[in-house]
Amino acid sequence: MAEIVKRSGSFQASCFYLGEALCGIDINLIQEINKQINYTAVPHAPDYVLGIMNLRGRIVTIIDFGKKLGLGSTKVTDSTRIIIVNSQEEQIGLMVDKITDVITGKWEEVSPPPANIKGIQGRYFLGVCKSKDRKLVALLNVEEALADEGN
Amino acid sequence: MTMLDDETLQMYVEESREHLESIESDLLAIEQMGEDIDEELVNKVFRAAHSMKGGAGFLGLNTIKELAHKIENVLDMIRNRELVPNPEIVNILLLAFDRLAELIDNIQESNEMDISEHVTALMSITSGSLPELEKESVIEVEIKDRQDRVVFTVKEFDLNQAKKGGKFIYLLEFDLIHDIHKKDKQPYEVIKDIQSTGEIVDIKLDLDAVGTLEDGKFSNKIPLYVLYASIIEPDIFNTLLNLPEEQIKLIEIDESKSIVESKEADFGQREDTGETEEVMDIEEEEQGHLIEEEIESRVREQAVESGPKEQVQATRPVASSPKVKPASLAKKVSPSKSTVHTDAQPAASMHAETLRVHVSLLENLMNLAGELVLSRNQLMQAISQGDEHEILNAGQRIDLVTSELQEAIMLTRMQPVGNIFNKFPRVVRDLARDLGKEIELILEGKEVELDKTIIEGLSDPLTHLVRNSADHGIESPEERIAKGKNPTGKIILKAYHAAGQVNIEIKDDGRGIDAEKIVNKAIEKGLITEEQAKGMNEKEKLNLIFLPGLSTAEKISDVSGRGVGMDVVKSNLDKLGGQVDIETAKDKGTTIRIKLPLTLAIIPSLLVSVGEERFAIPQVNVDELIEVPASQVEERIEKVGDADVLILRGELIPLLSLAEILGLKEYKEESSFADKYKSKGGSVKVVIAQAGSFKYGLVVDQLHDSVEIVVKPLGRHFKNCQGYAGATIMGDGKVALILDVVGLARLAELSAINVEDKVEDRDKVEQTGEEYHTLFLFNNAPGEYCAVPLDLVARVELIKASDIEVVGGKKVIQYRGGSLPIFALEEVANVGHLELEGDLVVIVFVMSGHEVGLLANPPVDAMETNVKIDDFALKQPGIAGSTIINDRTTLVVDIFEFFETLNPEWFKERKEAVEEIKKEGERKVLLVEDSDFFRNQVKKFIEAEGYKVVAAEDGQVAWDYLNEHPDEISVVVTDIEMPNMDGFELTKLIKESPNFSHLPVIALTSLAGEEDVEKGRQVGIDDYQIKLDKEKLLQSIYNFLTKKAA
Repeated sequence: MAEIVKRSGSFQASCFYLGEALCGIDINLIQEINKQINYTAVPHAPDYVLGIMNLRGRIVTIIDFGKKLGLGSTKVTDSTRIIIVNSQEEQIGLMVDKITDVITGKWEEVSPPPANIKGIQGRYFLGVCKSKDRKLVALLNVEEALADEGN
Repeated sequence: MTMLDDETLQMYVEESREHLESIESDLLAIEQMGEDIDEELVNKVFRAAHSMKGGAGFLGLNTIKELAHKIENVLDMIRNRELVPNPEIVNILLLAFDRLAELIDNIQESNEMDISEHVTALMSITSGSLPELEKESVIEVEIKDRQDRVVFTVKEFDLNQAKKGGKFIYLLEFDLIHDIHKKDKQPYEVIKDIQSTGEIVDIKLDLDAVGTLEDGKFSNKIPLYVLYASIIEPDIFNTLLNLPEEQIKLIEIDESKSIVESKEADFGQREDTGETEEVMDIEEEEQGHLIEEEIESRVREQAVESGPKEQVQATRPVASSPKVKPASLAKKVSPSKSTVHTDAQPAASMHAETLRVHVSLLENLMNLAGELVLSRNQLMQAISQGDEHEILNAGQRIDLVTSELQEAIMLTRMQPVGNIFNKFPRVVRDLARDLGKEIELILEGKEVELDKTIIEGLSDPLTHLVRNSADHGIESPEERIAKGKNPTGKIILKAYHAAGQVNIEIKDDGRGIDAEKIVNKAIEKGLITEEQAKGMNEKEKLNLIFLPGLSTAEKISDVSGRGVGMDVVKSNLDKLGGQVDIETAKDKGTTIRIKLPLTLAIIPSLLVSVGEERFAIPQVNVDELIEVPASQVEERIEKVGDADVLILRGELIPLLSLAEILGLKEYKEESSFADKYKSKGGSVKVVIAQAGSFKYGLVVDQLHDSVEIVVKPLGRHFKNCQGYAGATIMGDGKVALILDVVGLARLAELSAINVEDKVEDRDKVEQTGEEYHTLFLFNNAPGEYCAVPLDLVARVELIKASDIEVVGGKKVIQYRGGSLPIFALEEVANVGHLELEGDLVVIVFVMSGHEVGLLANPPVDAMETNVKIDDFALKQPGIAGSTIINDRTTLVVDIFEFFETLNPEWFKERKEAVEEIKKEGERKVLLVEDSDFFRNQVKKFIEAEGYKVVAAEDGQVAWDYLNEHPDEISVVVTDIEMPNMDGFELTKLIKESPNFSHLPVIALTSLAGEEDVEKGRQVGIDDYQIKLDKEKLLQSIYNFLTKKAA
């Protein structure tokens, strides 16, 4: 990954589960994490789009992140959360199964992503690092993951 | 260079744009005036070019500087009356300014852009008009500073030009660090400041003077050299600029020898002339921009008094003290290197768009924001104390403040439409020149304000429409003269407010749009079929112009005719929520009316729901709301082909189920439309949506209120979703989607043409069955149902019984400033008594040019029905017969008979005239009509008028009769739709036959007849009259008969 080369220094990532996969997003990209799951469905939208939500006066697109990454639909449970990220000047909510914790790591220690992590294609990842309890965390490239495939 | 940061550049760009904005119209005005130069105007343009030049020099934008400079030279000559601005010159100037605008738009690349063409053109003007002597003097002179370094190399011509008017030339040396930065000034401000008192001939930033690390010691100054021409005298000059004396140098040019001598002004020594004292006085009053201007103007006055030339002579000795090198060379300036830095351009990209807002508006916003915070505090407090009354109060206050805030913020986005209108004088002028036409453009309502986004989006469509008007609309002067019109065509561009919307009209007095031409073109290009064309009315035909791929320009010109056109205009305007309407009359002109919402951000919308989901439909797209009661669903909703249509006042409206389009409900293929559309109560709720040129009905479950909604865009993941215009947040915090009615129609694969198809299908069905007519239903006495043909009804007014006045034995009501006589049905017919109590309805008719009212009881309704009128059972004076509507026997009022009985004198006049005609011989009218009811009705009243009538059931019968009795008939009155041979065919036969072509043919149409009018004209129908509009038909017959007799 070309991008990994560019990154250096330490980072913090917020970790969460998508199905079985433990993933992380650079904490700087995250605006907030929302517990409320209350959205309006939009007919004819791509299947991974759950709908739109009112977040303090702004319309936020809610995406089933699991489905977007090819893992199948996310089931709504008590632990389901919506991570609001800023992407290309709009806010997008990513529905994930469960939020774990925030890890701190160094970009230098991040290893390049394998071709596939638990069913998620490698191109969505920046790399893999280890969490405190030695679990592997797949660091997601949010822009790549949110790219709409229509075009 | 931190000084030349983005901000400075941005400021320059913005200001230049502002200058450029008005230049066009000014130049055009200058062109108009020709020899009578409005000096003020020329000066204005000159100053614009000038300040652009100044700024460009400062910023190292050499190309801009050069071009601006060349423009300035030409303007200067115009100003000095050395040049008369003819269209050629103005054209070159306009083009040069255009280029200048381009350079400004691409400021980063401007230095690499080519301007040679414009420079040559401009030079040719200046040199061409110069006297020989001056032309020769294009000698370059070097301007040196006090250290004898060459700072500028200038053409002597430029210097001489600058000196005109008794100006002094100075070489100013600003130090960006000490003179500007440390004094907390902005370099650009300083430049502007000095421009207010004189002209900048050249300007240069000496980066070399800064020195490099290698030089050992750093120079602590950044010199900015300005070659400056000003009328201000040397002795007071330095106080004006607030510059140390040693940094100002007066440049003297010895014109006879073309040698430049630089002499130093002795600033310390002031001459005690009265003039300077006066100026001094002002000076003491604190300096300021205004005062500077005042000085300038005073100095000018004096200059005029004494004559510029003399003054130069007089002041020269003062200024020309011997050359003394300034002693203040303590500040070491590193010697100049030969290269000149000009590429001091910041590399960063442009700043985001900016908007100019009036300060008072901002202050208002601040106030409101403060107010809002205050109210919030009150609310919080009230909530914590649980004081319901206070909560309510605070809530109201917040409501008030919020709406004011909303309004104020909207205002910041409002811009006058003049911003785009102003470019059209130029557009039209250029077009008129290219096309060899004479066109006058009139702009009205420039001050009307619209939302910024709309203004921006409006520019292209308007340009297109104006170009169209100039290119296709306005004829050439010869053609116009031949048509008896003023050779100068007129285009009016007008903006005005109406009904909460902004209307923009583009009106020309040209040749008008030929609807047939459009139709032919559309058929030729395969956009529609001939059958479709036949079924279209004038308006629909005109609207074809908006179909993609249709361009009617016969010759492809630079101006238009590239095959993209009105469709783009239309789609652009659709995006803005605008509607276009065309009106045209042959050789009279065309008016294109655009209706635009004031703003796109907040729009009134109708809320509807399907299941649990709510949707908003912009109110502009909503034509009307219809609820079809459960009992009428079967009658009013029909299946035509594979489409469902709603019958609405004789019109067929295709129906779409919102739930179905959006896939919110599952339907089985064969489910009947009743099941499909019916909402809970069993009725069908339909929103009639206006999607551009066609309508359709959107079936929803519930109709809610109309609310103002704030439009929020949808994220990028929805860009492939048609059908939505955005989303909005409702009062309860939930999100609702805003529907895009055009997009929905596209989703359902419904298009205008498609609708035509369906209507056409339906028409076929109709032709074989009974004719449909719309009847206006009302009650006379309670339970007594009556009807009149809707066509005859002019208006319906709701009144109170107390509004009725009895004057002179007649009932009248005050109505539109006059008295309207009203009658009750019982006055003629033997019907129930109508009590003059409570709410009543007055049905207004126009009879023989008089407005009269018929009293009725509500409720009233309009309904389409196949008229089967029994003209026997209940026939009586004023009543034509009866029919069954909604299972009730309904009396059909013969409104003519009714009023004729009441006011026979109204109808007398023509009757007598008819008697006159009859003296010359019997007149026979051939009446062709398939419907028994109408045939009898019409026959009766024509006969009552005194003519003989021969009735025929269809065209074939009539034609046979004509051939058998060739000389009998004087006029033919025919229905259009008939079995065997229709009215068109009959007319065609008549008009093509040598024996009968003289016969006038009057066609009777039922409601839907509008589209036939044009077709009828083609086959030769002389006049159209609405069936049952007895009055007009009789008048028409009379007219034809007398015309023939005459």
